Parts: sequence; C-alpha cells; structure tokens
Amino acid sequence: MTAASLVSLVASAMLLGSVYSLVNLGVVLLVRTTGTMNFAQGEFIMLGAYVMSALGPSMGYWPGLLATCVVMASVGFLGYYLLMRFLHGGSEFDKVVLTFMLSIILTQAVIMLWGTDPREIAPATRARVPLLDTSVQATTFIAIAMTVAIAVGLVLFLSRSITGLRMRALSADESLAEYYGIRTEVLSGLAWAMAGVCAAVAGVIYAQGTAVALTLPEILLLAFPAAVLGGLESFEGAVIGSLVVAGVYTFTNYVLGGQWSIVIVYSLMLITLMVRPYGFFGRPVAQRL
Amino acid sequence: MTFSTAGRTVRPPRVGRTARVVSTLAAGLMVSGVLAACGGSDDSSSSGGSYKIGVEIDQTGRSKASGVAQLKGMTAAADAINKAGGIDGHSVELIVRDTASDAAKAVSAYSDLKSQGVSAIAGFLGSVDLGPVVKRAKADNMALLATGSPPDLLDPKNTVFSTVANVNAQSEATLSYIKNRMDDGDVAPEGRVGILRYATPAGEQQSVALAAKAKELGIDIVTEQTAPPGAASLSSQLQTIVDKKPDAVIFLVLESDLLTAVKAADATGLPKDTPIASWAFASSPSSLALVAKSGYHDIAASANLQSPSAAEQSDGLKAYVTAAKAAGLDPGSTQIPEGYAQTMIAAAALKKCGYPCSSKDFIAALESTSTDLDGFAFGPITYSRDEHRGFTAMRFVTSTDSGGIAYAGDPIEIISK
Amino acid sequence: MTTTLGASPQASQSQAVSLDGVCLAIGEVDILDSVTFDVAEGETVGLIGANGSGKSSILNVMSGYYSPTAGAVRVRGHDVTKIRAERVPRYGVGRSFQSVGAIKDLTVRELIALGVEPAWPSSLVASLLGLRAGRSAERSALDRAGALADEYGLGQFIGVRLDEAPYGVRKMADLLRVFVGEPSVLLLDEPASGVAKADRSAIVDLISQWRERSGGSVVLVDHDVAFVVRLASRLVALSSGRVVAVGPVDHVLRDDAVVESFLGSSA
Ligand SMILES: Nc1ncnc2c1ncn2[C@@H]1O[C@H](COP(=O)(O)OP(=O)(O)OP(=O)(O)O)[C@@H](O)[C@H]1O
Ligand SMILES: [Mg+2]
Repeated sequence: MTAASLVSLVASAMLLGSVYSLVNLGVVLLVRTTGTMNFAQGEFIMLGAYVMSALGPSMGYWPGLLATCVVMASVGFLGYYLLMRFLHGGSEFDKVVLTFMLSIILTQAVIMLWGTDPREIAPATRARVPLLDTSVQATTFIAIAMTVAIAVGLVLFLSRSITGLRMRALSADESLAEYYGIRTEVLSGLAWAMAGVCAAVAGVIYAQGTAVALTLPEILLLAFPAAVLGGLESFEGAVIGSLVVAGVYTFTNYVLGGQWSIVIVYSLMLITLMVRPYGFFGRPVAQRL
Repeated sequence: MTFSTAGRTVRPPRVGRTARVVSTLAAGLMVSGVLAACGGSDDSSSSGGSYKIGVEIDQTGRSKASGVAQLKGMTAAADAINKAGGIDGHSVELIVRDTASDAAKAVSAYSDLKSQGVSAIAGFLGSVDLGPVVKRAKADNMALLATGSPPDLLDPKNTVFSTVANVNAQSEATLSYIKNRMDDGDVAPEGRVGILRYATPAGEQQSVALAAKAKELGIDIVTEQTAPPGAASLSSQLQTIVDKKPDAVIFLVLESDLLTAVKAADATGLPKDTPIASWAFASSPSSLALVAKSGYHDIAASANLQSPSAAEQSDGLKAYVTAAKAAGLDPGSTQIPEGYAQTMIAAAALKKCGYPCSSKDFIAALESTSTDLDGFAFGPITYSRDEHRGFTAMRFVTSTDSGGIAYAGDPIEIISK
Repeated sequence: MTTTLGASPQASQSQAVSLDGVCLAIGEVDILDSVTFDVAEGETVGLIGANGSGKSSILNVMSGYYSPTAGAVRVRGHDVTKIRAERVPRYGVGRSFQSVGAIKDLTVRELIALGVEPAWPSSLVASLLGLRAGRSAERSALDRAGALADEYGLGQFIGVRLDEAPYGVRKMADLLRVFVGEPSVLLLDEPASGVAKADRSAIVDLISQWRERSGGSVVLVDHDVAFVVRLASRLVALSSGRVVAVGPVDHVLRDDAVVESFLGSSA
C-alpha cells in the first residue's frame, strides 16, 4: 500500500465514521432524552437527503443545508407531536413499534413526493486539499468538522444546560419528570426536532458522497453495530464506536475484499456484546431496548 | 419503565388506549396506501372475460424503488392494451401481490395467485422472491416472467423466462463494449480493466462468465472488487482499482450504487477521462445525467430498450411513450420501460395462446414467441423450448451535454441466434 | 363515619388547598371515596393511615396526576384536576416522593437544580442559543442547588450520582429539590421514611424554617405519627380510602375509629 492510498483510505474511513457518528448521535440523543429507540432515524436521514436534493440546487449548498435542518426539525417535532406523544408514559416496546410505523409513513411520503429514481446532492465544493503526495476532497474535512461540532454541542448541551438536565430527567422517568413541573411534551418535541437536525446533516453528508435513494436507511445496518459498540447511551461512545466500525470496514474492504467486511463488523459487535453487554461506554444499569 | 413502588404507582391506562387507536389508524392508513399503490388495472372494457396475469413484486422492503417503478410500467401497458380494446376483445387484468423482498411472502403470494387461475405470474425483481417459488411453478406448469432472474434459474428445465437482458449477458456485453472501444483506439490495446461487482451468489456466477469472455476478447481484468448492494462507502474498492491504473473500468452495480461508485472514484482520484461501462439499471436519461455530473464524461450503460430521449424512434417506442404519458409517468424513468415491456411480452404470448389461456398453454405459446416489440427492443426477443433468456441484443447509451441520450456504437449481440 | 366535621377555623377564601368529595377509581378498583378536607394558609396537616389506605393517592390527585372520578381539588381557588400535572407546580405546589430511585444518572446537585423554577420560555431559547442570559440562568440554578445542598449537610455529595448516594442523601436531595423551587404549598410523602432517627431532626428543621420564612401550607404524610405530630397541628386519618377522622391532633389521636383502624396497639 502506498502512502497516497493510505492517506485516501484514512480520509474515506474518517468520512464514513463521521456519517455513522451523525446517524448515531441522533439515535443516542433520543435514547438519552426521551428513552425512545428510534427505528425511523434511517428514514429521517433519507428524508433529509431528499429535501436537500430538492432545495440545494436553487438555494445553494449552505442556505439549502440550513433550510433542510429547519424542515427536518419540523418533521422531527411533528413526528413526536402527532404520533409519539400519544405513547407518553407508555412502554418502550410500544414506542419502538410506533417508530417503525413512522418509518413506513416517511418512506411512502418520499415516494409520493419524489418518485423512485435516485437523485443527487452536489457537494459544497469540489476543491481538494493536497496531503503528502495525494489530495483529499475538502468536503471530507468539512464533514468531520460538522460532526465534531454537533457531537461537542450535544454533549455540552445535555451535561451543562438546565434544559439538557431536564431532558435527562425526562429519559429516566417521564411521569416523574411531569410531577417535577418539567414540560415533558415541549422538551420531547425539542429532542425530536434536534434528532431531525442530526438526521438532516447526516443525510446530506452521506448522500453527497453516495446517492439520494430509497436505500439510504440501510445505513443503519452498519451504523447500528457502531452504536451498540458505544453502548447506545453515550455520545462519546457513539462517535468512537462509529470511527472503529468505519475504520474496520474500510480497511477489511481494502485488504480482504467486500465479502468480508460486513461479517467482520458484525463479529466485532457480537464479541463486544458477549464481553461487555452494555457496550464500551454504556453503564450496566442501563437496560434499554 | 414499570414502577409499582408504593406511593407512585403507574398511571392508569389512559395512554394505552389512545396509543392503540393511533397505531391501528396508522396501520390502516398504511395498508390502504399500499393497496392503492397495488391496485391492478381496471377491466371495465372487458366484454368476453379477461386474461389474468399475476404479479409478484416488491412494493415495500429493500427493492421497493425498482418494484414500485416496474409495477407502474406494467400497469401502464395493461391500461394501454385495454383502452385499445384488449387482446382480441379480452382485457388484461393484473393481480398484484407485494413480496416485500421476503421469501415467505413470495411463496404465499404464489399460492394465492395460482388459486385465482392466472395464466402466468410476472414481476420478480430478484432471487429473493423468485428462488423460493421456482420448484412449485415448474410442478404447476406456471410461467414466471422475471426482470431479475439469476442466470442459473433461466435454465430451460425451469419455467422461468427473462423479460430483460439477463445480468450475465449484460456483464459480458460491457466487455464487448470495451473491446469495441479498444478496436476504435479509445482504450489502450492492453485492455487493462478494473471491475466492481456485487459480493452475492449471482455476482460469483458473473465472475466466471466474465473471466471466460475476457479471455475470448483479449481483455486483461487487473482487479475484480466486490461490495454488498447498498454499501455506505465504496472508497476502499475504488482505491484498489485506482492503484492498478486501469485503462477502463466496469461497474456491475445498480443505479444508486453506480452513483456511489463514481463519487468514490472521484474521491480516490480515478482520472476523469477513464472509460466506464455499466449495466442497464443506470441507462435512464436521468440517472446517466446524474452520473455525468460527477465529471466522468465517458460513462456508458447498456440499455434493454430504445430510449425516449434518443433521436431514433421506432413505433414500439412511440407506443410506449404514449402509454407512459397516459398513465402520468415520466417515460425516461428507471425500470418503467422494463415493466411495460414485461406486460407487452406477456400480451404477445396471450394473443398466441387464445382465450382462455391455461398456464400450461401459456408456456407453450411463450416458447414459440418472438417479438422486437415493434422496434422498441434492439433485436428480437425470442423464447423457445431451450432458450428462456429472450433478449438477443442490447445497445450502450451515454448522456449528451443537453441531458439527452446518445447511442454509443452499434447494438451488441448478447445471445447468438 | 367522620367523627369530627372537617370545618377549619378560617374562612374558605383563605384555604390554601381544599378537597371536596374526591373519589378515585382505577380500573375496577375504588381507591378513594368522597375525601373532603381543607388546608388553611400557613397550616400543616398530617395525613395518616395504614399501608394502602390511599395517602399517596391523595397526593397524586392533588398534584394533578390522577384525575379523580368525582370531586374537586382546589389550590388557591384553581381547580387542578383538569390540567396537566406539569402545570401544577406553577401554582406553587411542591411535591416530594415516598420512594426515590427512579432517576439514577443525575448527580445530587443536578436533582436539586431540577426544582428551580424555569423562566420559561426565555431560558430555553437562551440556553439553546448559548446566550449569556441562558448560561447565567443555568449557573445560578446549579449554584443555588449547590448552596442549598451545602446548607443542609449534603456538600460532600453534590457531585455524586444518585444511584451511588446513600438512601438518606437521596431522600434529602429530593426534599431540597422541592424547597429550591420556593413553593407555597408542600405535599410531602413520607419524607422521613428510611431516614435514620438522628437525621429526622434535620428534616423537621428544614420544614419549620421554610414555614416560618414563607408562611406556606403543608400536607405531610407519614407512618410515623410521632414524626407527624412534631410538625402538624391538625390530622386527617384515612382508612381504605375514606376519611375516618379530621381535627386537631389530640382529638384525632383519641378517636376510637382511628385507634381501631390504624394506631392499633401502638397507640
Ligand atoms: N395505579 C394504580 N392501579 C391500581 N391500584 C392502585 C394504583 N395506585 C394505587 N393503587 C391502590 O390504591 C390503594 C392505595 O394506595 P396508596 O399508594 O395511595 O396507599 P398509601 O396509603 O400511600 O400506602 P403506603 O403507606 O404503603 O404508601 C392501594 O391498595 C394500591 O394498591
Ligand atoms: Mg404511599
């Protein structure tokens, strides 16, 4: 392997790791704030990508991304307000089932709005950054920077802000939080809106390097093992798990070929579950899912 | 979260019931949505009874994108036939079942359709729904018309018929296309080719066929990279291909993966003027235009059927465009022409069969059918007792600067007659 | 039957809380049956009764969580049976819990800070945008929580996760969460249960200091009658969801029905 290949493999692993991280940050956010495992996060990501593919060409990349975030925040909020809200205080299982329904509704909406043909998101820039004796797409660095900003922002928001504190109380016990005078519906809606924003950014970064297609939700196939490695409840874990999975996936692909990479990632997840059933960053007390 | 500690017992089930109501409502809405999407064509024009064709196709699940589009094309064809008075006065009715990319659903849909007395079952996007019903169809003498049959199931001892160029033939055609470009001097005479294909059983079958064909044509396959369908990243595969400095590249993947592949090619620095060949799945004007945006301007995809965006227009193509527009569809959209053609091929066999047409008679009729769909196909689509692959020719298409379609080279014979 | 009529000396407009014929049934089970009593401004009423007699259920109704099948609950004249539980604290109602343990992954100080009245919605917007106003509101919430914890001897525990803190500390933290919100009506569900005898005085001090400062009213539930009477001037005795006696402490404790149904041999 030449130095140039190594550089570009590391860059693509980092990019993929960023995408998985953003997917998982949205998942972990909802687990941490509302105690809901959102199986529709993949469809949120898909919808974010489709919205950007519709808005980007006329508005330009950055305004388009901003508008996509606003749209997806609204979708997240409405998903909670029109659907999830009615399971307030209900069992986690019911909530998971309802998120499945939400995922089907979102898919049908995408097919109705945009049909079945793939679409495209043009990247913010086609510039390349020279590195050693090769060059890396500038969008890779932008993606990494956005991921870091969102991850750090979420960690600080939940650990430092009073709103974040109330959200954590909410995830521990919705009815107790209500007794405390916490506006459970507003805060849950807010958490869903924030998950929508994570999905918007994840969808745009992911789809600009692939295609805007109905297959986008399958990102969860590999993002999910990454979240499990990270313990499902920790942002730091989600990011580190995502980077590990992306790295393992990229390099086994290169060295062993495509038929092995998924097998190896899943073996990694199973081994983790056997050694540490709550992931590397989870706590044994947390029994979600 | 169920607490039953004294002092703060679980809230009475006001939530449970609401939730159940909402869930049921949502489920109901979804089911009705799916049903609406699956509703077969109306047989109001029928006078003397209608021909029934079963359809097993993904409307949900992994392959729904292709499945939804294909069914639209199939329905547009049936509507066009029925509006023109049906086949000798008998309308064509499509009875549709969603297989949801699920083997169990495919099997139960098969039994259901069989019991409704269909003449044949069409649809079938892939081995997931086709594989589990092949044996029973053979025992029942039921023809299965497929757009996504793995090559081995097309063995004439089965009752599977391909209504598109099958993937092995398509894969070999990409090599023929590269060979033509070598002869024209566009590709270096060493013919060093890098290939990306799926890591699936069908992909393995292609690999064998490709190796033989490459040898025959004097092409050097320098690397063959594999990936699962829908991979989140193809960068490592492309990196290996780029490292080998190939003269041309072949991507044997579906449309959205082709986009991922060219974006990865861009990221890993594959020169922009590298000739690239791909399957028919990316041959629609919209997807070729999308791919061309990546900066790779020398991309060609094999096409099963004439393109509405090309200059050449046969009667069959015009009829297709009229039917698609009448159904409110974009004629250039992916998999809609393939769906249309499938119904038309079935109609050709039904006409030969006469009314009523038992499934056994249908097979006999189809095995003596040859049609080029009024010039819509690039050569005859011919079935016989020992040939179920049908399509005999394809043609490569590229995107023009104005977003249209141009043919690259002459039609390529994929099955020698 | 009620042996003493529950009329309190004050006129009805100065009632902090009043329950009027409250009935509660959950599913097939009748839990409360025509519960009627008042709590005057500045008054502390003790609610006593055997296990399962409905004491916590009454607090649940008063804090807006259970909707009674009949009857009304008024806090300062506002009917709280028709509004969401999360709005009840805005009328000045603070409620502590019998069991503490549902929330595990907050620190002691964070739990207390949850009680700080949110300056809604400006603090949310400010905190989302990271504005200085938002940051200072957050800091002051945590500062106030920390100061209160210090004052009541939890100083060394402020950074400890709740599931790693001793039971007594958790119980005290839950009380401080209520006090930090500066309520004017307190609903305390067995604040001293599970707390060492020696530490109970701290709880009594906490409550009486707050009472002096704010002139607020208290509904105090506890099994330990000795503890209740250190604070309460009147008692309501419950049995199987019904009020069996209401009145001044001495009076209720001497009531036959109470002795029979609850105090039994221990009286
Ligand atoms: N959600 C509920 N569903 C069914 N029964 C309930 C519910 N909540 C309370 N109960 C029942 O109502 C009765 C009163 O319960 P409550 O918790 O109010 O009693 P308590 O006086 O607080 O008892 P303890 O002294 O044990 O705390 C009990 O029999 C209890 O089982
Ligand atoms: Mg109780």
